[in-house]
Amino acid sequence: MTDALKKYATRIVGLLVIIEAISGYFLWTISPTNEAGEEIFAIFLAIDLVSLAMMSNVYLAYEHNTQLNRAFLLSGCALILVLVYISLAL
Amino acid sequence: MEKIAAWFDSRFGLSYPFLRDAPAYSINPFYWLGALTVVAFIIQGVTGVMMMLYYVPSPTQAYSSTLFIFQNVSYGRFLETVHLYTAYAMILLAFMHMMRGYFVSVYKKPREGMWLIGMIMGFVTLGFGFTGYLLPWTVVSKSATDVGVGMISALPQPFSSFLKFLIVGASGDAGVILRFYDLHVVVLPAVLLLLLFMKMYMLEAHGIAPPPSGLESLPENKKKSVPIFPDVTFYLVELAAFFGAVMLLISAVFPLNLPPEYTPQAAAQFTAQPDWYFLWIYQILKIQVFETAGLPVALSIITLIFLVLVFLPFIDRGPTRKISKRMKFVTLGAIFVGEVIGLSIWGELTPGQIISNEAAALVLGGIALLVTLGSVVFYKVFSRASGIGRKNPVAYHDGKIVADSNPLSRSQSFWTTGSFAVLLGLGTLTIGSSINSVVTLTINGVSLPLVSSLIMSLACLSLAILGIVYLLYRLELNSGSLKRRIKLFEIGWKSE
Repeated sequence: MTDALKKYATRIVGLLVIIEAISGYFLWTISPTNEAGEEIFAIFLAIDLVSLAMMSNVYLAYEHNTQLNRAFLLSGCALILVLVYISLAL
Repeated sequence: MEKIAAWFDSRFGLSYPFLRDAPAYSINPFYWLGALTVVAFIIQGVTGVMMMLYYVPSPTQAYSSTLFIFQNVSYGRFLETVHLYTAYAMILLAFMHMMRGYFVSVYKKPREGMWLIGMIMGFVTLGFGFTGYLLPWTVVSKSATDVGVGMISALPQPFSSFLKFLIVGASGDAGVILRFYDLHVVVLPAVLLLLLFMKMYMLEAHGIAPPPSGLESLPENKKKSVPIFPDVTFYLVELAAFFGAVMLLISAVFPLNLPPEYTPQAAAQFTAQPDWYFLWIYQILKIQVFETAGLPVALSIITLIFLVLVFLPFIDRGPTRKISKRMKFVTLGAIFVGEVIGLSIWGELTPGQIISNEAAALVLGGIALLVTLGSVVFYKVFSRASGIGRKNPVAYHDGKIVADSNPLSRSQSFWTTGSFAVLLGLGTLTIGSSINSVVTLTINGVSLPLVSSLIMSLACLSLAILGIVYLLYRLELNSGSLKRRIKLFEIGWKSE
């Protein structure tokens, strides 16, 4: 991994941490007593988990000085977007 | 701070990993299907314990307490939904783990014991499904369980009496639900954990099985070891987090709705059907020939299938693990997977219907035939394609080894395999259509549109079969081995 890619990886992890923090905040604000609240809770928890998976992936690439798995990261981003879209639709 | 860390390390041995390093080639999701099954089991445990706080295992309160979880407990419906879907995922992952092990023959020496323990763990997983399904006491779950318990009576003695004593008892519904609950939350988890410990211990002893093609085929960077922490641990976190996210997404999009409560009146108007993972077995039992008196025969056949799977390491004793050299076992495995999927879909489409012997023979035979043809083509195409790049690709002609002047290129392999996939798909569709026409003809009598539909289906099926035979022949033209094989059946043919 080049220095430029290392900077890139650090920025990705920073963004993922922000996403985790926002979705974590939403988890605490959702009403647990109605059905839509349960579904939105599941969606935001899923966003947290996808971010965690992506952070693990970036961490391993960073540690081993290997290339970032772009297909995996793009899939993760796409999944997060789908989840956000579903949460808005619910 | 360092002193505190050193104290903990010296007392608890934190810096001594109790799991051995993993080979780099195992950093691949297919190697961790078993680990994902364990992740599903952990999610099951956590959500199950939360539901245990409210659930009451008695025929009068099981449904109302489940409904209470749905309606009054915070995130109760979410817990129930995640518990159900993760249970399904656990069964599916266990099946995929088993079939992956089968195809790459991980059961061979010295891992026979691991295979045996894994198979028992698979049965325990199915036991979880069977016992847990009854607990909400809905008309769907109780009727399905009654079907399952009824099947036990058809088993030969003393298995029938023993299983009845173990899971049914003699105290009616109250006894049944309590036993199922005890098995589900105490006995089966304890047994599964014990087996998991044994399997992990054996995995540490033998290590992760190398790929079937052997270590020498791997690039250098795949041959080295990676430490269990942080590499393997973070990789597992990645897989588990993705798996959990998918489970949550499915739970959010398809939340569970509780079916009506079980009452004898409600059950009388309901067609009993087991859950999807037992559907293939149920579909076999619905075949006309196995009805009533034939039930023990059907159960014996199913038992035999399971016994073959359990004792596979002692049946497939060949020395090689290479998939390219195990065509017979790979084809049998593919047929098994094809039949299980086919029977399950068919079972879902025909709830409660008795299957005629002809339809069963056509579907089961059709699937077996198509999968076998697919397997033959797969082996033929890829063995030819693998000749690319060799200086003198080898082929046989009239029993002699000759250079293959026309090995398949990659694009040819792709198009040939694609054509086969299309033809096999067409074949499967036309078999289904033919069965539908035959069944409708039998029920509704002969009519012109139905006969035309049957003729059209059979014509398409014939075309698909002809196309497959033609492609097979094209593949064999250059090497001539098909001609040689045909000659084998000719009178007067002499071996060279």
